[in-house]
Amino acid sequence: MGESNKPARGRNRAVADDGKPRPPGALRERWLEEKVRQLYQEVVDERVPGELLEILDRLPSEDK
Amino acid sequence: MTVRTGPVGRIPPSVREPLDRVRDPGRGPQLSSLINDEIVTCLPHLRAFARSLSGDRVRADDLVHDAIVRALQAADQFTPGTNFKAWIFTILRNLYFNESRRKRAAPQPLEDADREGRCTAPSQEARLEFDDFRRAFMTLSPEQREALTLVGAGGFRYDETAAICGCAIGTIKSRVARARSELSAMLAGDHVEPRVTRSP
Repeated sequence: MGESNKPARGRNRAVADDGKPRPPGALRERWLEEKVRQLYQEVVDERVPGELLEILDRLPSEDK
Repeated sequence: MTVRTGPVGRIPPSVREPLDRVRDPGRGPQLSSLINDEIVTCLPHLRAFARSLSGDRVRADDLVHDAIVRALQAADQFTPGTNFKAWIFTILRNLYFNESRRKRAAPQPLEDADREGRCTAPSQEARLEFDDFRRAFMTLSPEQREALTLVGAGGFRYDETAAICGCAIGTIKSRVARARSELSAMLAGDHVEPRVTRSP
């Protein structure tokens, strides 16, 4: 759980399952994409403030 | 949160009147109901997009608020069956960039980036790593953050992102590539300098 996904550098460069060096660019790119999604999802998962929902709640109802 | 209480407290005529127009017998209730439902569905994503642009929780929610009001004002311009999410994202990003231009100052996101979202990472190491990423992300230009967020997290294709941002697909691809490159460079250096204010 606590293991870092951050791309390793230098002598610690990641190695693929077949033993060949993993392309550092691809690994880094995947890591970055995950972080961007994480950053976004973190806000999506937040509770929406009531003040924002109030805008819609206070709209005149359609049957008025 | 300090969303302004005025516009939230009651529906101003600028919103009510367009809604009344939308509710004419031709397309009214269905369209306003559709807009309402779509806004509710999009709200979490609007907030996430706004946060990625402004880097500031309060300012982001103010932006979302203004985007909702603007969307309601322009509800009769929305064509049912088209991409509502893209439509309201466009409204929000236009509000953000117009406001930034007016203020002639870019956001100051680093304090907020430091302040927010510290409790989500599962371990201290991962948390520090994520904070590093967050800081690095917020030093990108707003256009880069926008492109990266829409393509990488918002679920938009390059062509849809280009339409939202009002630019060419190639420009979006370039912004995404450059953003990734800058992030990689910053994080590889393990040192993130705050970006000096920069107008969009």
